[in-house]
Amino acid sequence: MIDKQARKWLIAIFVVTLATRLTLAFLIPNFTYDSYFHLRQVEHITNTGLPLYEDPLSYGGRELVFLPFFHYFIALFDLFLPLELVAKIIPNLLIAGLTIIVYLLGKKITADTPAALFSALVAGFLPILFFTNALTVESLFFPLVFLAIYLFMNLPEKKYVYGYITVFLLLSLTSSATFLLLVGFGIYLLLSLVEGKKINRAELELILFSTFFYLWIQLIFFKSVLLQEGIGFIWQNIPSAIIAEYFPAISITQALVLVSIIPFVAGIWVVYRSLFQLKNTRAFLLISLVISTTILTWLRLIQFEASLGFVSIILAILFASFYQEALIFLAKTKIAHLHRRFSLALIILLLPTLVYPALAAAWQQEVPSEEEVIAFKTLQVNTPPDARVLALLKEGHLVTYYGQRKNLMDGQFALIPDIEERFADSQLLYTTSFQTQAIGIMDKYNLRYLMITSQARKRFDITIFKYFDTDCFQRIYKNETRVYKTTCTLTTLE
Amino acid sequence: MKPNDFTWSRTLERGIFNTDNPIFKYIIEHQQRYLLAVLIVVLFLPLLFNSLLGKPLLIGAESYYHLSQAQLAGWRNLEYYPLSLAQNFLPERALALLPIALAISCYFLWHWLARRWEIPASMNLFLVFFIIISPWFLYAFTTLSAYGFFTFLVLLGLVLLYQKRLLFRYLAVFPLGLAAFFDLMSGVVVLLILLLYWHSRRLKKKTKLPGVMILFVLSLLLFQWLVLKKNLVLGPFHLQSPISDLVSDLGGLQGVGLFMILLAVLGMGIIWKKRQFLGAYLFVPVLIAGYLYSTQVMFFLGMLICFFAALGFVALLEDQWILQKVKEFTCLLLILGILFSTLSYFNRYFAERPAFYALREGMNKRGEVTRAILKANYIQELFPLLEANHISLLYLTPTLKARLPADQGLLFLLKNERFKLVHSHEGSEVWVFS
Repeated sequence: MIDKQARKWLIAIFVVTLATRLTLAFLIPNFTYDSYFHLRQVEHITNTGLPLYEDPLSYGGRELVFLPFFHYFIALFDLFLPLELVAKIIPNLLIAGLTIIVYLLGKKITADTPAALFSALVAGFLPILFFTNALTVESLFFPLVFLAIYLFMNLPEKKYVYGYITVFLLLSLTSSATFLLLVGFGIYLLLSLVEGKKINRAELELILFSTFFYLWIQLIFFKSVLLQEGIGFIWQNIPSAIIAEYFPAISITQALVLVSIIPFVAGIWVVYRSLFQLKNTRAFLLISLVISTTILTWLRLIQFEASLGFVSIILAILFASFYQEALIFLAKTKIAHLHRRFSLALIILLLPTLVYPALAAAWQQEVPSEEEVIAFKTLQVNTPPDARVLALLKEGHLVTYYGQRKNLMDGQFALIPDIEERFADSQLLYTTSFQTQAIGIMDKYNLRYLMITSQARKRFDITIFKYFDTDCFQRIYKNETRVYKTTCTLTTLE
Repeated sequence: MKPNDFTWSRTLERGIFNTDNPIFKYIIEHQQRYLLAVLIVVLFLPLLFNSLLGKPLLIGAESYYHLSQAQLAGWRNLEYYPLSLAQNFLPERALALLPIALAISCYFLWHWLARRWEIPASMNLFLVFFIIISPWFLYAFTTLSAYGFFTFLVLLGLVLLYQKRLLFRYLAVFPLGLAAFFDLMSGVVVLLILLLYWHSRRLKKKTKLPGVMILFVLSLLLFQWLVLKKNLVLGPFHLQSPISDLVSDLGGLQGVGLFMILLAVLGMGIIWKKRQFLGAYLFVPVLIAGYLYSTQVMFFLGMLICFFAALGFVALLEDQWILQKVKEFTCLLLILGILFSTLSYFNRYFAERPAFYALREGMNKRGEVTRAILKANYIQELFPLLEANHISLLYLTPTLKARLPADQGLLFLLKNERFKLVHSHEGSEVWVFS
């Protein structure tokens, strides 16, 4: 139970976090590029009741595979609120809700209310989670996974068993990244064995159940991907030229910026210290999760941002341990009388190192400008319904969501044959100087419309396609963003 | 089971996956007939579909490799004599029934041995069930597989070894010797089995027979290696991929399901604790090393994985869980997961092999490529066309061959080492391009 005083503080932290997030979400226009894929799925579920597994627009028509719970969850709210409003409020509400779960976990491992409140505060302003305009699966995954961890730590009480099972079922249908939890469980069992720690029987039973259930769900949903891509399904068929963007090497500097220096250093210190007294620590499971996630990231088996997000929340929880131990240490020193001021000093230290990077992360989100969105929307009137449009890889979902036209590529790579070739061709269309080469590629993909946004100009350092001339290209939209129609072909169009 | 013993409420109360459950007890008691029914269904299903769809009844490059080898049966490949005899006396369509007959024979031989070895009934039920629904088994016993025949010979040899009459026991030398003659790996496996047999007999009574057998198989092995220079493993008959050939859920046509592997890991841990069936560990390093050399060893490795998986599953069933409902659900998930791999195998098995160019497509780009292939006069023209279009099989009918010149063009180029004839019947030929 949360005492009254703590509840007030916790509600305050939650409200401040949510208010900050929502303010930023509404101040910054539109959504991050990847969000448009999810928006389209939610919209389709609201209209038809089913996810869009056979997408006629993405890559000109393809099969999609993904876990649908997140989209159904958002679609539920879409029934009585406009989608763009839901997409701004719900993810921020979910991430702000993490503060409560982190508080509960912090309290569980330290049994210290102020320490747990500090954890909640840190979790509320983690820069890596401050992408306020992102409608992504992670916004549901993170609260669910930490709720599962909290329930697991309270086993074998019956209500927690049922709670854990329910949350785990939802998690398995939300994100494949749930395997982070399972690998963490594996490390937890291994460390228990090494340390001679007695494993709770109910824990072992639920770990077995979770593993098999998770695998079963993945096999059902991703059967076609597994069969087609084999072990390569881990890397999601991402073109080799950009795989380093998704699975980069571990960067401490980036981690420091995205997690923020104080929670990062404090958390790592707690993990390091605890490793030598594992049997006694109550954060045993959390430390196992840090170890497993670090190993998986190091082996490049999980996307860096997802793993960093996951680890940063654990580090926020472990901050409670750091706070508690720091106070105990302080009490033993000659400046024990300053112990009350320690909390204040910590808040003063945390605010600039945590809140400022979080706000900066939010402002630096990659979102399309209003002008670009209008340009994508006008595709609906400027192009025929079966037109295929060239845009940047990250703008692919804008073509399908706003323009409702076929794209050449977008960020959903799974099950796309010859992805390397397609990616190279899409890059060539922006960089080649030869008109015949460009038109040859356009013929190959039956591509008749080309878009050049300010993002594309910046990305390829061009102002216009180098092969542009008025004989073969007709401008159909002119603003900062331009849309061209090609009138030439090397072969007879079918 | 008496009718009064069974009520749904009592069954559900005790749990479906509970050794005290009356349905479970009934299945264990009558396992032989139910398992046989499953075996017949899973093996006849592909045959039936192939027959209905007008496809060749025998599938797989290995089948046709053995059929061609059987025509050349001699002292260097003694093991092909039985197939050679079958080929001479049976019509070709009946040859497709051979693997099924072998599987059913193996099934009865195994049950005889299971009774003799006093394998617990629940263990036997899941071991046999896991084996017969595994993709590696289904593939091996719906094709003419050397290791399928090997299994039959080994089981026959073991049954003979456990006979009371000394003459029968000595007769075991023939099937076991023949089994050891397929390749070096089969010889090693027979040797390991005999070592286990020798170990078990040594404790009971003194007999020279196991020692004699071991020496015989060892000398056969050396003879194959040094004189006949046989390969360590037959094949390969397909493009090898160690991961997907092991895990059928990752796209391999053979292999075992992911759930089976997880259960096997669990089973391996249990054997270590219980010290029962410890001899199975003897096979682990040999088969893993063999598998890394050639994934064709999946047949043996699959058998070992099924054995460990059955142990793991029985241990899960017999274990008392605190969360009984979670146990029920976990067992159900496991069975569903294992069946999923089998269904997934059938799904791929019945999937159409796409033709590169079909008549109904009209004369599009593929039509032009097909014409270019048929008209190619030089390998420099032909090979790039085949490679660029991922064509690995060429099916030539007598009509097509009659239209093509024999001394030049495609028919002439088929003499190149990159082409291998894998099937020839009544003038129709299938060539593999590698």
